[in-house]
Amino acid sequence: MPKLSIMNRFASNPLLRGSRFSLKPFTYLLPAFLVIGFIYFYPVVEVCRFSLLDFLKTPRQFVGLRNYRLVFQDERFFQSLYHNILLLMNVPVMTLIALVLAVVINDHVHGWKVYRSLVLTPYVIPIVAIGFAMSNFFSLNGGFNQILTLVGLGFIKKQWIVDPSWALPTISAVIIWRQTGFGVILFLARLSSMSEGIIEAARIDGAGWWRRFGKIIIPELGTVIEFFVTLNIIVMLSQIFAFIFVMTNGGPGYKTWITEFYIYKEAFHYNRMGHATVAAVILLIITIIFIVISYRFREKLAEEY
Amino acid sequence: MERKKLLAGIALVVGLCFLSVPVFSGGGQEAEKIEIRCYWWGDGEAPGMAAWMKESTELYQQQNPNITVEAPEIPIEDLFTVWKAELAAGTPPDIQLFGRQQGMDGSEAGNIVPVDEYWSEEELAHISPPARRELSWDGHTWLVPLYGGAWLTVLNPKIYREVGLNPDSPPQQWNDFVSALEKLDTGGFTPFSCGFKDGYMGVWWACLVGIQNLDDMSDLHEAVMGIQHFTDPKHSNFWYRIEELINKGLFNEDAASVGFAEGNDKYLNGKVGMVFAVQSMVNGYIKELGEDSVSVMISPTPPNPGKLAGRMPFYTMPLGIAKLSKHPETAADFLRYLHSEERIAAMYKQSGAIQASDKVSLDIMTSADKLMAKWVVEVPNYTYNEHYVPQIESEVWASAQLLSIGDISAAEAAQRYEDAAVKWRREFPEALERFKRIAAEWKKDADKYK
Amino acid sequence: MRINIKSAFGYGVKQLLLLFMAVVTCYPIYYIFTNALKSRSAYADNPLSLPPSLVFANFSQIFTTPNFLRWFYNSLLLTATTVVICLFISALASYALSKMYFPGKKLLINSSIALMVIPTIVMIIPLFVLMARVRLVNTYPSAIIVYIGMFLPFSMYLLRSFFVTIPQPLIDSALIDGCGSFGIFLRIMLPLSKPILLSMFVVCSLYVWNELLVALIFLQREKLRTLMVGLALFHGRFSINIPLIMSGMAVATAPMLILYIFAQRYLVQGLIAGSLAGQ
Repeated sequence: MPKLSIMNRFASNPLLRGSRFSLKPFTYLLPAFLVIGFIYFYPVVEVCRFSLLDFLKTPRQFVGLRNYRLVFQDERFFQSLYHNILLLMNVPVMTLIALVLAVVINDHVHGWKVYRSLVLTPYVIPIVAIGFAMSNFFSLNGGFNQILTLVGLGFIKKQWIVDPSWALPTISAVIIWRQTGFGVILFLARLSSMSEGIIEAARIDGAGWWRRFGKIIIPELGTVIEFFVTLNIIVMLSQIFAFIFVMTNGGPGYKTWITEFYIYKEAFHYNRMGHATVAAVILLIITIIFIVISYRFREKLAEEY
Repeated sequence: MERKKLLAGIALVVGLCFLSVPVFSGGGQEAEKIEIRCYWWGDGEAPGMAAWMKESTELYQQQNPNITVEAPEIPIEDLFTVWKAELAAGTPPDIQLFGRQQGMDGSEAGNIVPVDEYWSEEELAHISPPARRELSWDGHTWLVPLYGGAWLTVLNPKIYREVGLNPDSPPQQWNDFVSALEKLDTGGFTPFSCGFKDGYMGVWWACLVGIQNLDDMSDLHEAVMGIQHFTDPKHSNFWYRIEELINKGLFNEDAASVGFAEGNDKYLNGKVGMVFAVQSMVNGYIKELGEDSVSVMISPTPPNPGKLAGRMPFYTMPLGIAKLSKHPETAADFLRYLHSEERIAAMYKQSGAIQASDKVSLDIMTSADKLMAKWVVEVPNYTYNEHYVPQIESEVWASAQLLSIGDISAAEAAQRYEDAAVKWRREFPEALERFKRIAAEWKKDADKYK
Repeated sequence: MRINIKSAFGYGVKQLLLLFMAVVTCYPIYYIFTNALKSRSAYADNPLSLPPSLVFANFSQIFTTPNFLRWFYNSLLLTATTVVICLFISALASYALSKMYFPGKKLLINSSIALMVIPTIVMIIPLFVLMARVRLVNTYPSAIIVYIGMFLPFSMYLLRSFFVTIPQPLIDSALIDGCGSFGIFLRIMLPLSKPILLSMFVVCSLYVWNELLVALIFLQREKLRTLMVGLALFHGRFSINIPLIMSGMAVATAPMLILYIFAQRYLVQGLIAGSLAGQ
């Protein structure tokens, strides 16, 4: 009786029995979570522990909040945080540019496929390469000033990459150049999967380009925009070390120090592990705060739409 | 059956990871032979050094078949970080490039053994006295030079003559120096070329011009210790001199935008009147532009000179032996070999670098080098940046960057310099104690190394 | 045919905008490659122009620069090893997370997503201290395991969302046929996931090849450096040759450009899937 034998097979196979405590998942999960434990959980715990120690003594001594006190007295630390916050202003700029470009490309003008390919190219170029090329480009006799002179704007020539007021904006420009393309293809993907009908209906109803843009497209893209914004907030906080390192190495003075750079320098150049780990803990806390805020925001968005 | 396959798969992957440790680790050691490592830098400064070092290691290995010497060049800004990392791992190189700075702030105390444990006094006596004095503290000579270098100002005689200046009597006093620069400027040339973007130029100005306001290195020690101040006229003068040249437009236009190397490199375009250089760079310029476009002078003396005015700083790139080295005698012997007459002569021939030793042979030198060798003997000077501490030096870099772009004034730069010293004293009391001790010893030793 | 002025104007504006975007996007890449083909004096004269004459000497010089090829090899080795190991173990874990039942599954899934936000520099410091103590600094495994760890959450997240879409009946019928769990993994999950695995391959390679900070800290010795670190620290202190360095940058960029040209679809899919999967 075939049916019964199949039932028997089901019964005798532990996987099929749906045993909740089968050993199998464990072996599959082990390597990945071992690595994750080692690379994520261990360092987070250790960083907190290190921030309470004095590294100059052997064995390392517990000094409580002394390192925190020193770091909070360090002007350079607050400058670094401040620069990170300034860089956060890149995010709305990038998002807006990416939105506009995505919508325009989505209108399928001639050559849109080529533009779509081009827009992501900056994202694949190594930061080291583009950083070096751009710090060159923005130096006094570099390409940018030459272009300015060519179009008659020579009088605003500056030494962009070493000017205390312009170094950070110049780096921002390069960051925006690199990161915006990702947003464009992200928004494009969502746009093209949106129902054509909505946009068409609005067009027939006579809604202008801007109104279509504002009232329909943006709300539809809501969650994707929120994702892109969150992602880039994280980037501005903790993934731009390479830009600074290659383009200005923190200079001029300390005008382009960012928190990651502060941590790097304190740990590996000034040999002040205490300072470095305190800054790391604070960076971690700030990052978590932003994530929590964005999570709440996303929940609210989900409710409204 | 499937579970076995899965476990095998995981074991394979894990095994791959562990396998790559011995397979991919840099350099496996064999226990019987002696292997020493030497981390140094110098080819960027004296092109040809790398070839000389390679040849030296090969010849040494030929003479001592059971010894292997590995001598990779490490970029100067990484030398100390790499040392620290390997020290932390317990496997520092046997020989490492250090400087007096590490002696003064004691950051490497306990990490190196003095060379005078392996070299005889006779052997050490060959080292030029001012160099030897800087390599000694705490009653020992700790380091020996890899090579020595003169630090001076270069001028282009051809351009000088074009604007009506006399290259054979170069402008030694500051006012003459500035008028010469102004003449070069009106003549359409770049009067003085340098690059401030990475900040090293700040230290150069301190080392070549600033030092001439002092009476002795003790002045600098006292400023570090807080007895004198970096805002005092004799310590801050060089900032004002830089500011003066910036305001008069006597630097290259993009001085703030270009790094040290690029700034100096401009001399090669043949339109620059003067530049700071080390002796090896001079030889590089001569090779490219010819001897009639390159002449040397002792760096200009600023107003209100001290006793150290008019002297030529002569620095060495010193090598020391790590305490954790398993073969310190071999390391010292290798250093001894590098100081043999044949190697010293070969070093000059291949790289143009001069050893800080009386074993150098003057007859194989170019005329510019002969001049420098003469000044080393007649008017030697110390090296400013070996007499303070790294934390303070980084402030000099930062201030130089900002001063060059016009963000701060010379007075503010001097104040920042002073603030950095105050901060260091507050944060590193133990290093300060050590610094005080060694500074006192320096003052006592004035006669020992005449 | 009526030509609507308004729409023609709109069309023109769009084209202009996109053209401008194309120029801005491509110009820096053009800047790198054209200056790599110039002589030093040609670069000094005009950094913006096309090379007055093609100078290939920079490329031959960069390849014979000591250790350059070594750096290139190191980057290749690190990228290949990381990608292979990471894909394998994340596929295993994603399989369990998508198709198996066990307590704490939801927790594991959510926590691994949360990990993606931890800043790299925060992780590196204690890892460096630990590795220094066990003498693993300046060995390939130190960097490899950090890279694997850093890419795992994203990889697991993506693969899991894809695996979840593999129809359960497929698996059930294989089970009935007597296939074990690993057999299902090899014969059903992996083959069906070829496109997503390829995407992961491309995204992971891009990430490891371009990475700077981890390589800078864990692989400091000259011979062990990756291409990115070698180039970032490549400045002779007393002499500098911009076109030469540009050629090095060009060599570092070329593999990624080539990868992009051939695997653009997979790269885009990989990047987007990660972002939109949960939407």
